[in-house]
Amino acid sequence: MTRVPLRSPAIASQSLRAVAAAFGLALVILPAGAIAADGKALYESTCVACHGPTGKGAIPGVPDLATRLDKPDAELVNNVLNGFQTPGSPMAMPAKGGNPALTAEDAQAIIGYLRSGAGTPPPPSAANGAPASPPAAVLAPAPAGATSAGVAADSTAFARGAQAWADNCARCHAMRDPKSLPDEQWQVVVTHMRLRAGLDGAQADDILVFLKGSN
Amino acid sequence: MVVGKFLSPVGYFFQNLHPSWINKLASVPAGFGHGGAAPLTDVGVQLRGGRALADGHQLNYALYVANGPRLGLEGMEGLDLDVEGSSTNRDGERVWGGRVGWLPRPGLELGASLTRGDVVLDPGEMGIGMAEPTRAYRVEGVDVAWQASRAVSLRGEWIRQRVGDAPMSLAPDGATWRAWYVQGAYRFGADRWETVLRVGDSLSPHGESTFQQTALGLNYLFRPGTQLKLSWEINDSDNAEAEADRVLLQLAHGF
Ligand code: HEC
Ligand code: HEC
Repeated sequence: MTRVPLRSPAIASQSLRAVAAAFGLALVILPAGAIAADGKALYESTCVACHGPTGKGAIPGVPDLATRLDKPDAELVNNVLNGFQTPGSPMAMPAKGGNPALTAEDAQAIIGYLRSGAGTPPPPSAANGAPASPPAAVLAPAPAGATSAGVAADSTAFARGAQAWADNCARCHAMRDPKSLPDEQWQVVVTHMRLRAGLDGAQADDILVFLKGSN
Repeated sequence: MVVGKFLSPVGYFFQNLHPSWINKLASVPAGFGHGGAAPLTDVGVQLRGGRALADGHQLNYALYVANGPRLGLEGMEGLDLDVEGSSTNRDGERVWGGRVGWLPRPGLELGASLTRGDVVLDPGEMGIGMAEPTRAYRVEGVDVAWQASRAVSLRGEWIRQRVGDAPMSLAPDGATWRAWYVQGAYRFGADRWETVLRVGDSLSPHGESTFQQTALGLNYLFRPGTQLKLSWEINDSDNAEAEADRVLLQLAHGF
């Protein structure tokens, strides 16, 4: 989440000028980063709600990704793009993580990022002067979707929806697999569960974008 | 906005957790079922909603006005509260209240419930020709739920219903129904297995609903809406019927 690093003492202690400089630098760097898809930023916008920041799984039913990395890249990329379910598993991996803008290069970049050890904590941003990662993650969907304009807004709704879903939909009962119902039924269920869970309208809309994108 | 018969928005367990595919044990907590301390259903108007606040806080609310419970007699003097709503409001009195839940962060919810109103005893055949006075009806409840880690979930709830005294009545004394429970659950084995421990206590004007309970469970989750539950209840009471221990096996499936 964006606010966490902003609160960290390391950043707070930096002078305003240094922060401004770092963001200035980020603006220069980002377009270049967008061409070679940024695996970390993509992971943190599209996959983190289910897989968690370290890949160990944020919600019951999602396995530790470390246990899957013995498969070859091509197979993993294929499973990310087309979705995947181990026979009998309680929840499926949604195609493209539910993000329609995700390309094969993006998937490859994320696998690369996972192999490089997503679980290791990111280097403190003060040390290398690089911008804190979450702002980059928030900005990333725009350049990633640059090939097809208009996808950006949808994919941020999607990422917010995935997070709201992960945060709220297993509070009372076991998490339902996004794949288990077609769009029209999710519409009905989310309207019903919005009342049960006490969600606001925007959260419910985002969750619906996520569920429709994931089934 | 909900109009008609609904699960009572007061308290947490019954409205949100009682379906057997959701409840982690094969039985409801002591005092949270029929004849217990928690209101179950009601008939009236309800307004529900939520708000995502700054800093990731969330607030949710449910407010209602309804017919309220029906007060009857059990035996000569014991008050009996029927906590299931009815569309005919026999006593002509309504109740109002609701619950507010606050999530300071995802995974932690604190809730508080309150109901106020009046009820009138319906003494049935025993009170032919007697006019019964109104009595105060009050409910208070608090609940907490905490997803302590990916594998560990903890929750608890306390709820109390009180009916006031009515000196000019056939059954002059009021009564209190009170129940609480705390529950911890631990998932393991690729999230398929779950062990559960629940401790609870129910107090009621009636002996058979006054007991302490420790319940242990082992569950296997076939699918998110289908689980097999083996539960063992140890009950402790002055009442022989309520004292009996039980082993329950339940296959629960939700849609
Ligand atoms: C809705 C939750 C969800 C989202 C969002 C999600 N995943 Fe998954 N993912 C899963 C689940 C559940 C599995 C395990 C599926 C199984 O084995 O049955 C999984 C499995 C995987 C696997 C292992 C596949 C294999 O062959 O064993 C990889 C790799 C993966 N996810 C990558 C990603 C990436 C990359 C993203 C973001 C683009 C993503 N996931 C988004 C839920 C999710
Ligand atoms: C406050 C508790 C609670 C939360 C939070 C919650 N549910 Fe439910 N859910 C229930 C209950 C209770 C039922 C059983 C039906 C009923 O009584 O309303 C249910 C039923 C369901 C069903 C079965 C179909 C149906 O409509 O009865 C699905 C699917 C479902 N929930 C999905 C979700 C999703 C998706 C979310 C997140 C937006 C969610 N739930 C959040 C309590 C909750």
